[in-house]
Amino acid sequence: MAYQQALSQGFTSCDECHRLVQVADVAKVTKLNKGQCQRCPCCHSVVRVRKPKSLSRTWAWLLTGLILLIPANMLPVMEVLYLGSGSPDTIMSGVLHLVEEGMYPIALVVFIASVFVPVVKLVGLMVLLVVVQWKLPISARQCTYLYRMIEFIGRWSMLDLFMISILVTLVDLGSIASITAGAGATAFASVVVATMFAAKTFDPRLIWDLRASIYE
Amino acid sequence: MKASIYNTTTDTEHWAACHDCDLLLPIHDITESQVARCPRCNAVLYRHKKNSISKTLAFSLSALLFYIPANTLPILTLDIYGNTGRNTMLNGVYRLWEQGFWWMAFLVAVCSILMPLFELVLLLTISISIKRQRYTPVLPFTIKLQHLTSSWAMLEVYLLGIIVAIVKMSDLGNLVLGQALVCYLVLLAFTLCALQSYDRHYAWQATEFLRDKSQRNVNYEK
Repeated sequence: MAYQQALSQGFTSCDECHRLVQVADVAKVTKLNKGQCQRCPCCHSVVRVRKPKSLSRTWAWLLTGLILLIPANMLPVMEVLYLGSGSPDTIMSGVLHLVEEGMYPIALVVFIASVFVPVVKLVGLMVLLVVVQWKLPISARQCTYLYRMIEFIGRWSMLDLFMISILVTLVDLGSIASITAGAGATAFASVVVATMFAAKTFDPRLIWDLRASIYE
Repeated sequence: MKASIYNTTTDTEHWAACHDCDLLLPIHDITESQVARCPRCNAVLYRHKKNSISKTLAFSLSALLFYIPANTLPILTLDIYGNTGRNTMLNGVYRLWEQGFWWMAFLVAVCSILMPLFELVLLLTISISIKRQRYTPVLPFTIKLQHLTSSWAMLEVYLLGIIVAIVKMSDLGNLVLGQALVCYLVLLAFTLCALQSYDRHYAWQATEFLRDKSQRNVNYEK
């Protein structure tokens, strides 16, 4: 069966309502100025053939995430003050505490959500970007599956942030015991946001554009 | 496939392009509980949902009833030596703000409180206006906004946060699960049901139909 890219036939789908739109003028769809752009007949949103400046924007968010990942893991995410003496906890030491206390399933959940997922997202997106930029002959279907997984798992990293916001209110006993958030948590939250934006700005159709000639 | 098939302008209604791999595909009518998938990259193109709008209306309305108690009543209460710490969804944000972590407070507020509320209100307004068969210029705007909020509403992740907090704190003192936990779970369940029954594809089709109808009526009255 012959597969055809919609773009090669002069069509594209609207990002918002997924309606097929005939591209009137390629110059109009690639312009960044919204006033001169073609609009979807159904939902009136701006029609783009591909997400604008997808690669450079994804690289920018990705590098932001990578840089922020260092303070996120080095600085304490929260500090437990018990009778005046404090013990700062980084993400990894929090997981290790859970392991020491024998709570393996929860330790695994926290490890996956706050250590594994951000790293997998960053590495996965980097692989996708390299594949598109260097035109590597890797299965486009596998790459699309990877992209979908990255898009799906991103939100679960927020777990750490929500957990801190709960703990901060639960343990609030003045001088006896209290938990305060740490600077690492701010960095970690920014990593999650940066990787979510990185996944949003990446356009998986770019992977298939490279291979259009193979399938025809 | 020949290129000439696509050349007429009316064809855009019977063809679609996969949003993940840009494959040009003919649209087939699918019946109940069927899913249209892209043959090349397996992306879900369209899912047939029965009574989509009525279900969304019912679920989002019932979820909204539980929104205020779930946010203001204590979800967890921790008792250490007679001192109690209470957690509600709102005071978690407030405490973070108080401690000077405004960026975290902002993110927690947006992802666990504001966006879930916006999402429910938008789903409700969309389903009401489609149910009433009346076109308002706000309708396309609300559908677009709902699409935007859906990736930032993380109510289900908050549940995982609660579970981890329970496990971590259970041996520190006397941990009591509050009434709001039940409200929160019901809110979460109804929100997920509303999202599951909501059909954005159908909402756009209905919007286009209603707009055409309202424009025809205007011409007729003239």
